[in-house]
Amino acid sequence: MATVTIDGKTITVEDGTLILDAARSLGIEIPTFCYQAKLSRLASCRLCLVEIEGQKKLQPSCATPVLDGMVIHTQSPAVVTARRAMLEFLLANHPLDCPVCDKGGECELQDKVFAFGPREGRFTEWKRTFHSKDYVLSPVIIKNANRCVQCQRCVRICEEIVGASALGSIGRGVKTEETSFMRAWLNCDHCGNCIEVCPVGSLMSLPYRYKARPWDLKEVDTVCPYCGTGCTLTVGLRDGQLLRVRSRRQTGVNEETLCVKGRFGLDFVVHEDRIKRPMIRKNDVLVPVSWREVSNYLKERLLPLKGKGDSVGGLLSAQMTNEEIYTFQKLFREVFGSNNIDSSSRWPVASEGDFYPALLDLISTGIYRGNLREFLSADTLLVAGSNLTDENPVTEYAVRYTLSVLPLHLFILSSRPSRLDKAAKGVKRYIPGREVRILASVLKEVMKAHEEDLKRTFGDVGEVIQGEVIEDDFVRALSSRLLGSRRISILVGTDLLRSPLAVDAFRVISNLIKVLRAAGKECGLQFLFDRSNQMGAIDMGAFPRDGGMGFGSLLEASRDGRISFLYVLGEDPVLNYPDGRLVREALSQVGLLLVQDAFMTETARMAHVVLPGATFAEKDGTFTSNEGRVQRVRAFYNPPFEARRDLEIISHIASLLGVDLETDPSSIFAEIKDLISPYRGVDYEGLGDNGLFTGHEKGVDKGLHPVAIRDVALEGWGFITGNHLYHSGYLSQRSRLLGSLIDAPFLEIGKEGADSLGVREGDSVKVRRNGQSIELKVRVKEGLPEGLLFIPENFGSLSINNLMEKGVYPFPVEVRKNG
Amino acid sequence: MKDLREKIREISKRYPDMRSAIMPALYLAQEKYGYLTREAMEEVAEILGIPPVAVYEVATFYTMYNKEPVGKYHIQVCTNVSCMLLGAETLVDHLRKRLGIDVGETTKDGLFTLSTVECLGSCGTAPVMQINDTYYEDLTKEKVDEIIKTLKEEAS
Repeated sequence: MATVTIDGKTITVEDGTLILDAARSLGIEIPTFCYQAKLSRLASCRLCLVEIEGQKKLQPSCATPVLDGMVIHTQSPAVVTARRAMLEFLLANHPLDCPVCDKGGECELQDKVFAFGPREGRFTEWKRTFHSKDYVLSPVIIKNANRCVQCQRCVRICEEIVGASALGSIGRGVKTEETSFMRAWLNCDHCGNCIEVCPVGSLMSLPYRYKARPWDLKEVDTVCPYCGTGCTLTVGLRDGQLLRVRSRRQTGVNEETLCVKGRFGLDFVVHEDRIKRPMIRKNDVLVPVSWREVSNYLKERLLPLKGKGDSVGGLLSAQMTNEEIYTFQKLFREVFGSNNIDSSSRWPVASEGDFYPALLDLISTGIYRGNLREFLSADTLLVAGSNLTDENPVTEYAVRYTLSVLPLHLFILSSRPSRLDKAAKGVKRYIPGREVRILASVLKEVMKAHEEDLKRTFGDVGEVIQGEVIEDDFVRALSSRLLGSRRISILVGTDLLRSPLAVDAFRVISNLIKVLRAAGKECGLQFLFDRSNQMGAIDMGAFPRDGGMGFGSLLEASRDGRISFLYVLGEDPVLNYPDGRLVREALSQVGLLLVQDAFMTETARMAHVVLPGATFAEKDGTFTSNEGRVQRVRAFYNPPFEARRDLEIISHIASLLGVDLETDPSSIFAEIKDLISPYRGVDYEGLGDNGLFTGHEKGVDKGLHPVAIRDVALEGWGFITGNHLYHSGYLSQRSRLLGSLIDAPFLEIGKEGADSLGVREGDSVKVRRNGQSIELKVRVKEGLPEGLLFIPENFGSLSINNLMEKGVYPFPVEVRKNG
Repeated sequence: MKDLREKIREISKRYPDMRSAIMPALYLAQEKYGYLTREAMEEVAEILGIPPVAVYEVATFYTMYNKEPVGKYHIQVCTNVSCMLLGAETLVDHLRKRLGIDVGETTKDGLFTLSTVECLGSCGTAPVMQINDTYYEDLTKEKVDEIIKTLKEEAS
């Protein structure tokens, strides 16, 4: 510990604390430019200079650690003069074109000069000018190098947090320009984090350009609707129009970062595809009708079904709020008397009956409900079944940051290569369906080393793993690392959820956690769900329980004509259920197909009744992130045309059946809080900027589950699917900006595979299965396992689910070069 | 003859971090291509497995890397303090007249490119210039004329 005096106040801090941080904890504000909390220290702007007694030269407080007994001055005449001089240097070449600068009004240079001077300009020389016209770096980023103050925050965040390394400091001295390779179009994630950290108007958002002055914006804090990482974000509106999205410093899991979907992908809310009014199918055509007419129609059709449990079912999106999901399942369970509810139509693809029980067991055994950053402060991190870069980009940023500051050992078990592979101590590629053998092999090694501990905790465990295990470098390295770790964290991705052997994978992971804990280690898991409220959907009970049917079984029952009413809320299974033929056949056999959605989806086109719902932009409520963090979703638009908030619609349907359901999110949340134990400590009104964490419900320890290792055979080519950085579902498909970043779906193929087919990057190939075929452009991706192909899901135009079949994964296909 | 990839791979083994190998790799690329084209920088980045912009940063920081084509003989006159005090600027003027080009330009016949550079680290023998990899020291106008003449003869 070190005791220092800053401006006459004394404080005792940890050794190694920076003077800047010590001062801030005393409430003394030292101005900075190049300093950014999570980035490496540059100490180049010299704005944070302070005077230390006994040292002749002023020192940068952002890079100087305290020493015991230091006496520091942040306001002495020498400091004030130096600070002013530094700003004068920055202004010497700054164009001072504030009237036409998007940053004007929220510019750190403006604010600092206003606060610290100089009050007059002495420079009469020519200013350094890189260019006379701003240049575009990407469909979303535009650059003005003349305004740059060379703080290099953009360069550092791009390399250190995002991992794209697309920006650099070009040239030297006064002619240094922070820009792209050859000043050319950026080959990057287009996440715009460089814009976020730019203190001046040097890197700017192209869509926001010249749209508003910041003081004219009305800002609303809400949560990103895309993946389960759960980033907080602030939307800026002018005249009621969404103009920009930004993150907030030190707030939420994302801490001033966002991915491209969160920052630029929210324009889907104004897509012209919105459903404007209710529709009823008449003579095989969907005809717009009034709410009154649709209500009468539904009342007549639904009343006879009240309490008719088995023949009704519901599917809702895990991008709905907790309150909507809770109310939806309540409608089914209490009004229809049905447990046929599901919240994802994209998994499970096999062994449906066992899926949720196994998943719930894994959750109650292993889940860590708490801050991701703390979760990552472990000795070892295993990422299982995810390409983090594409699936949960901001979680990837957090992992990359943690790796740069802590001795965390990263192991990746994933079918697809990702940008994080380079930073990992061990990487294992696999064909889905073979993950169980790999994980079980690790489990066996760990069990072997802890036989005594296991006996003490579980008694005689018998043969937990049946089948042959493998011994390879990855298994050896990971097992020995696990044995040597005190704290282990596991991130479980959506690839595992899609696996035909998902249930076995869950059991092996659950066993692994129990065994590691029995060995005296701390071990927990978080999921990498790709839907913003998947965690909440599971917590709210939006899954089949007590003999209810999941979506796959509902489809089979529908095909056999056993379902009289199917209510689809905010999901598009026709596009994304992994068996195109089954879903189309089944939905055409449903007695009454009711689709409630904001957009005219493929599923809505098949419906008997369509109700115009709302997007996240038009509703209040909560999402629960992958961390188990409950955060407030806040409305910033009103539902357009005759659309209504989904909560109102669900409760309206209940009222047609004579049941009153609450429509006020805070009252519903109060009920959730009473009934769902992890939410006991969460108060709707208390959800501040950072939300609140749900609590952990201690699972009943049922000992270890025996697992028989099976393999899924794949001969020839097989494809898997998943999210792309720019696309993850039918929402992103309706974002004009995201659409401008990627125009067509593609096929990823390994280098060897491409060579064997005689195809190169950009070539067109034909992918065939069961008489169906699609054409795709090739992207060569080094590191994909042999025989495995990747096609991003959710490109509506493609309908890849025509090549998919329930219970199969990867999907075997023939691939041929086109032409 | 070993190709660029092999040479860079070999030299990179001396460094703990591939970024440390950027400078020697760029010299090798410049040797091969005469100057650093976009493709050359991308090639170096690909061979070293680092982002292209990291190579571009180094290439633009140092004057020793040519980002534009240069003549057969690249004349780099030091105009830093010692050389300047001993008449470097007069030499530059003389070269401009003699070659008929300005600083930063190349003669029409493609033989000479004239540049001014910062300290070449040979202040004891100022004024100094460097032509390709050779130093010419204690220069006078006459010596410069002689050097140009010899190089022209060598080239023809």
